[in-house]
Amino acid sequence: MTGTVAARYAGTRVPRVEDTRLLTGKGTFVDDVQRPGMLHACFVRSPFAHATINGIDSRAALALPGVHAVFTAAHINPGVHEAWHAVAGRDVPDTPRPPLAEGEVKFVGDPVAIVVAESRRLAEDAVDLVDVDYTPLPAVADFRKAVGSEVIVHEAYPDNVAGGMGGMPPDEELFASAAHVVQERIYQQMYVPVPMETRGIVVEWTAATSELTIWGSTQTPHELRAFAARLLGIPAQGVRVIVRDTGGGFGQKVVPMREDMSIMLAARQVSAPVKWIEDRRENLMSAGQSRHVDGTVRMAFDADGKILAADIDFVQDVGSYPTPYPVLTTAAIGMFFPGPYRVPKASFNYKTVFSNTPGLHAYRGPWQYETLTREMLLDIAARKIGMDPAELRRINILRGDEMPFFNPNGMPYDNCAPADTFEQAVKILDLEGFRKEQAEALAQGRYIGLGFSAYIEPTGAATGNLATEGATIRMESTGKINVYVNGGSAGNSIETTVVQLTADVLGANIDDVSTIQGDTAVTPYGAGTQGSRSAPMTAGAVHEAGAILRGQIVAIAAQMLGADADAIELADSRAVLIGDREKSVSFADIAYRSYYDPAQLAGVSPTLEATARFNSQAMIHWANATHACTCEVDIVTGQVRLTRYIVSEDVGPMINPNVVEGQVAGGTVQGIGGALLEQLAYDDAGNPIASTFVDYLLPTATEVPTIEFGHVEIPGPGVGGYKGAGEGGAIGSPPAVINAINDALAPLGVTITQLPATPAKIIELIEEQAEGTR
Amino acid sequence: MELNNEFRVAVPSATVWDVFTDVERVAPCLPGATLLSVDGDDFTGAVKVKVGPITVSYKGVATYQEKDADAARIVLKAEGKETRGNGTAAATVTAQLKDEGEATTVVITTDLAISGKAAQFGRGVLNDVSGNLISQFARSLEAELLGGATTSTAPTSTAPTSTASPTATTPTAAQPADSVNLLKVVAVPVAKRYGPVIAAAAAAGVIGYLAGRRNRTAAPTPSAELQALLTRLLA
Repeated sequence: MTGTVAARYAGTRVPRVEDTRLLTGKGTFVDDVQRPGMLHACFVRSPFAHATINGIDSRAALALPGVHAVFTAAHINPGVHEAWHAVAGRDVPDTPRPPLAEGEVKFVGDPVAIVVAESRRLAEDAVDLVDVDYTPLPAVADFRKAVGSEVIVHEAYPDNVAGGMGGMPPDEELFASAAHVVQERIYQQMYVPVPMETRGIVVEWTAATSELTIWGSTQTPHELRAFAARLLGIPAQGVRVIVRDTGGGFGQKVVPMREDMSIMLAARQVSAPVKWIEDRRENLMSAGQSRHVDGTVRMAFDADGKILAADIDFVQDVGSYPTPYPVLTTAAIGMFFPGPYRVPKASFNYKTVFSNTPGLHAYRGPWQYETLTREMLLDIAARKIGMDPAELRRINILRGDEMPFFNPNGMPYDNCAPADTFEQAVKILDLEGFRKEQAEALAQGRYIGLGFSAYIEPTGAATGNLATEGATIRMESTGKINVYVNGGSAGNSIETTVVQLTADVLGANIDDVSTIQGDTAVTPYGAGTQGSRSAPMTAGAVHEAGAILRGQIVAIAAQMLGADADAIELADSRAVLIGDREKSVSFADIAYRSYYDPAQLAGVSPTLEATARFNSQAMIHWANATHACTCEVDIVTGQVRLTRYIVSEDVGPMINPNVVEGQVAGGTVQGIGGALLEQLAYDDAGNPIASTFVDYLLPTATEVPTIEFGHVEIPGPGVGGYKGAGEGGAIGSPPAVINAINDALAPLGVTITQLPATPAKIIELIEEQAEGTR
Repeated sequence: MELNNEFRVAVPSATVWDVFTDVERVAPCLPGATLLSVDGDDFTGAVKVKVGPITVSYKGVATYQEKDADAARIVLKAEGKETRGNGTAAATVTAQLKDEGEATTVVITTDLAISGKAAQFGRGVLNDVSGNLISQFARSLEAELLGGATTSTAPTSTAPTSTASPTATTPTAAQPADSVNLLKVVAVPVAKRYGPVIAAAAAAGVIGYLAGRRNRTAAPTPSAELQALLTRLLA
């Protein structure tokens, strides 16, 4: 035994260590990086959704004083060595992704050339002077019309289908004979992560030493480094990525995209560091798309409302240049469609389809269409069967005593109890009270509604490079402790939680622990912030490295105290003799002895640092939650006002409830935006018509009620029982909001099935229904 | 996309016809654009539009594709390209005159295809504001028809937000060899989102205030009078 430590900080609301610098404006984002002689890049982008590039005349741009270079595909693209992404792996047959458009542009915003100039202002001016000779071509902007269209996005895919997959075929006999069958076509609009900080990168190539240094705004510093080395064909040890603060990523910054590739390649060709900072219009126009799915979902029920079968058939828009390979990640929608319910039979089928729009990228719960459609369909079914939607869920939702439970697509649910979060949410809500209030409101001509949404979510999945995470923990010569993990501060408070976990594993006072993250030169490899993995995986890494360092500390203390290692415990930054607490030695003294007086250690190793890699043995950490939302709909204006919002979740034991609640709230608000406001709209010609915040509407404090939290803490299978919390909010909230609206409008016979639920859409449906019944 | 507008002027249709088929008379009725040259039924023009932080300048060519006096129909076809940047605008504008004795109703159908920055303001916006601009155009036209003075007919602005000032620019010193005698254009103060409509109108060849006076005064800049008008119109 090497000294047990009781958790002292994990589970508590420790204030965020990030806050001091962020709230005082001292964060360091990529645009804060200044390098001597740094040049600025700006992209020439296509004004057409689809066009042939006949030629590019850069002379006028190059003639502008201060312009250093104009690069086109001919200069940049041949520099690509390898361009695969770790999340997909080296051997997946990837879809095309040239850094700059070659011969043809495929969406409005497609990068065609890069201008490098002495300032951003000059670069922007010069961009306007680059004369690109285009021949416009017909475009297919609407992916629902892309399959079989005469317009072909990529020649290698003549039917515009990137790929697809099917599970078991639907049991049509069952659907034909079941007591209740519901079917609905549900369309989710294109909406996107919209990080507060847009994308950006600074790349500095030092030819003399063959060193490449990158300052990035990224969720994955180490994979950005590995990708850069692969892309440029240079040894990875010569590449260093430095990331301090990232102003939100939400999936958009998981993998380097075409602009990042272009800047890395361009930086090799200029003798100065190059900075590219995306502006907001570029971000909305070019960074990518997500959430855009159209499908038909069905469920069959027995006479009592028990689910007999669930089927989903859908098409997902992958735009022009999806990043990474989109076909496999989309499968998750089909696999998770049965959700947290006792579904005996399930089937799915899908296609991923190219269109002349920006490429699909990840967004917080990329598969959330399964929850959206399932939960909307359950409410529609409940009304059809004549049950309260809460009751229909209650009789179908999985209980803890049924675990492990394999869903019909083979997903092995375990270590969770969806019924517990559901019942907790119902209790916080006061369902009976609400239904009474609703009836009274209706009698007064007011339309208020309640929507539930329950889901089960695979967090911290141990697939590929996501299965492992590294940590280095070092006790410095002062006895203070530094913990080094890949991390990077992308808004998920991982600096705080890592400090908490490290303090606990070492028995240190939290003020004695600091963390250094995001610099690949000093941190071990990790897969970064994605897949709701930071808590379970980083906890594993800290646990492993911490256990080794704890052993080192105890061994030195034992020598100093003349005691057996077994008799020593670590607490309050001291090593204490169990049974004689008067005898102890401080971490500062242990460090002093090791660093400055090792001769006194009688041969005990003075090593006070440990690096370890965690290899997760848990395939998936199943988190789940139930959202409950109430709203009032003004049937004259179509305005929706959310009145209450409840999230009861189980992310396992919480390292820091503030952090969990912050993650849940942030995701929930993004989903509220998706349900009500946000739409990255395109016209028929493929012009983006929401490329500024005038048209792309984000939720603000005005739209969001106080979020009420309920916590269920069922330990997961991994270290500490921690599960992931990053994505769930964004998965659960869209259907809760839509269901609340549909519940409010049920007396009018109106059901929203096409998102977003804008006032105009609501009024249109109310009027249609009124005309139809007249 | 197609935009549909209609207006009525208290002038007989024959008079409207005369103005509509004379680009140098009709062009001044539309704010914010410059007629650059006229060669029979072909003419060139330019327009610069500032919408918030985004400025779009076009130059292009337009042609009377049809002047059917019997059917009282005029069809204009126009194409323009951004002078900085690679966006384009193309429009086919059909004006159908309806004789109502002492008055005339004009139905304007614009088939518009735009790309680039201006295209991103959205069809809904185009539909919303094109009516406003056309009604202003109608008032100016009526004034032109009734006496040629535009200042007395400026309507009260309905546009909500712009505070930009009009900017007059000087003629460009050197012209590319392949272009006609271009003047730099007038930046009109436009309310947020009005750009595409003006751009469309310009692209349609219904352009320019200066044209009407060019021959008389050769003034390269718009009059203060016009600026004041435009400011009131769109501010």
